[in-house]
Amino acid sequence: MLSDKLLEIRHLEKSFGSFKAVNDISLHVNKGDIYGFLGPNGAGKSTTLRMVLGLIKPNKGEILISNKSIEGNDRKFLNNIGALIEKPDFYKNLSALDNLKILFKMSKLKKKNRISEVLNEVNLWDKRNQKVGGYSQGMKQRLGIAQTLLHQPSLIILDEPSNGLDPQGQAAMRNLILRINIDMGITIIISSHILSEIEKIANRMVVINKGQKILEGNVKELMAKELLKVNFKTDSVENLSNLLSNKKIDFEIRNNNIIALINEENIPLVIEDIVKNNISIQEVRQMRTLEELFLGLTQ
Amino acid sequence: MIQLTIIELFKIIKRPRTYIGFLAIFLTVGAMQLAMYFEGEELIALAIQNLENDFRLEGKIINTNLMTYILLNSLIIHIPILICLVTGDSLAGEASSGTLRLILQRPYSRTQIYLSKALSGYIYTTSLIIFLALMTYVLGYFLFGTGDLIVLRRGVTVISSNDVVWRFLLAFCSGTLSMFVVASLSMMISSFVNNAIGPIVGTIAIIIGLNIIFTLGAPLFKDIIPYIFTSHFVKWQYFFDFNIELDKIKLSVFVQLAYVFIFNIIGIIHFNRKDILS
Repeated sequence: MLSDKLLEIRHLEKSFGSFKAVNDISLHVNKGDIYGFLGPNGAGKSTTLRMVLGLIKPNKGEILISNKSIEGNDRKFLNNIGALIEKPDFYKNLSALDNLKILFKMSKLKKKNRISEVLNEVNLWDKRNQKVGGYSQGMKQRLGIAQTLLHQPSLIILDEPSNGLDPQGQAAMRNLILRINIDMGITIIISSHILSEIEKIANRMVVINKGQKILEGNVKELMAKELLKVNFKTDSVENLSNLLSNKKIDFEIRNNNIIALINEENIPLVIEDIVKNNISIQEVRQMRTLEELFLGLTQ
Repeated sequence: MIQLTIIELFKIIKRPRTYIGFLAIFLTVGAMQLAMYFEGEELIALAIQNLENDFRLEGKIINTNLMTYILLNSLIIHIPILICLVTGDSLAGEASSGTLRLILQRPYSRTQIYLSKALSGYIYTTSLIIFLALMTYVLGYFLFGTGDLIVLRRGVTVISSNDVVWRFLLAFCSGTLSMFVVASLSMMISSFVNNAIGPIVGTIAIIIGLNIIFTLGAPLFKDIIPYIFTSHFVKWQYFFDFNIELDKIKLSVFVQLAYVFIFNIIGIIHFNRKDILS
């Protein structure tokens, strides 16, 4: 993973009337990242992403793409960014091919077979002449991805790309995103409320709430920093609960299960003590999920 | 800019509502011409009964020139509505359908996008006026034939059929400029709202409101009437005066161009500052 910054946001602020949608957010996305953008509804995710695209003007702060500020009227920075914001909207009365032709010309592109390349990439070449109004949600999402790839950008912003997709569609979307990142080397920012999705594909992430950044960093490190929920399935509930009490570990008992809150680093030590004390354990399962971390941070 | 304008024209051509205007003109002009064909003699006899006391009128009074002159009056309300259907939709319609954020993610400035939409709107407006001209003149020619034009405006002016074509050409050019003002106004309103109904209703409400002021001619508004853009929608009639008053025509052209410029400037400034939340 390269370490140079592709996108940097410095002290970004945006208010709508008296409502502060984004409040002093700073973050950076490195080249090659799949960067998760997390936050509950109304947290300021879409507003921040729209400011990166120049759709919304910030009140304060600076946005840099490849170390160049996007301020001013020069729109060339958009050659480096492909984006799918919220839902994939197209000219419904036009075919997928006509829609992409419009965007192709608006991107000042020259490579003639680029449209067929991206339509093949998202498996829509056979449906290219069908009007977008007749497309399913999944097809629209894939066409949305195709238009982000059209001008071969170095950064793709995907705002809730799995919205409205069934589990198969979500898995296909996840694979497509990974393929774009790994095979094409494109950096991706993905905002999603499907937290397991971020957990599966993102290497770095930010959590924002009420317009403010709560944390930013490596997904695995962030997960490890916090206490993990560990579920022990045992016949010796009493012995295990005594051991955990002695070690001043919080836990709760549910039938034959003990759910304990343990720092990730201490888990091997606890298991070692369980073995030493001959406490029989049928199953040990880590329960900590990104969703729990997210809820803990944003509630 | 040319590329962007071609793209905008492509979108206009592909939109079904574009053809409502042409269909409406076809039906309206067709219906009026047929009505005049069957009942026109009586209507005209009623209109010129006073003249017949002083003049002896010979020849075809109802002819394609008279029909074109009558139908040019539809520029006051009818044609503006048809223009707004397309130009009012150009920004607001894209905002409501979400495609505005799609095109604003491409490396063109908002000013370029606005101007390309305005230009394509003017091309659409011009094509609508040309269609109106062809429909009225060509259909009228087949139904009524040609003849001298009698104009009842500040007295009676009889214009020879040999002398009328250039007048109509200039009248249609003047009418087209008036409709550019309408297109610019609806484009400007379109930049302020996120649904296509607003610019259509807003533009028509403004035109009707100003037309009422113009028609009433109340002393209170006497000084501002020459500068109200709707009062110039009938200035094409100057080209059918016996002595054409060039100064008045120049003033009318200047006032309308000023409106086109001002509406576009306001629209561009607002569009550049607008947060795209749709």
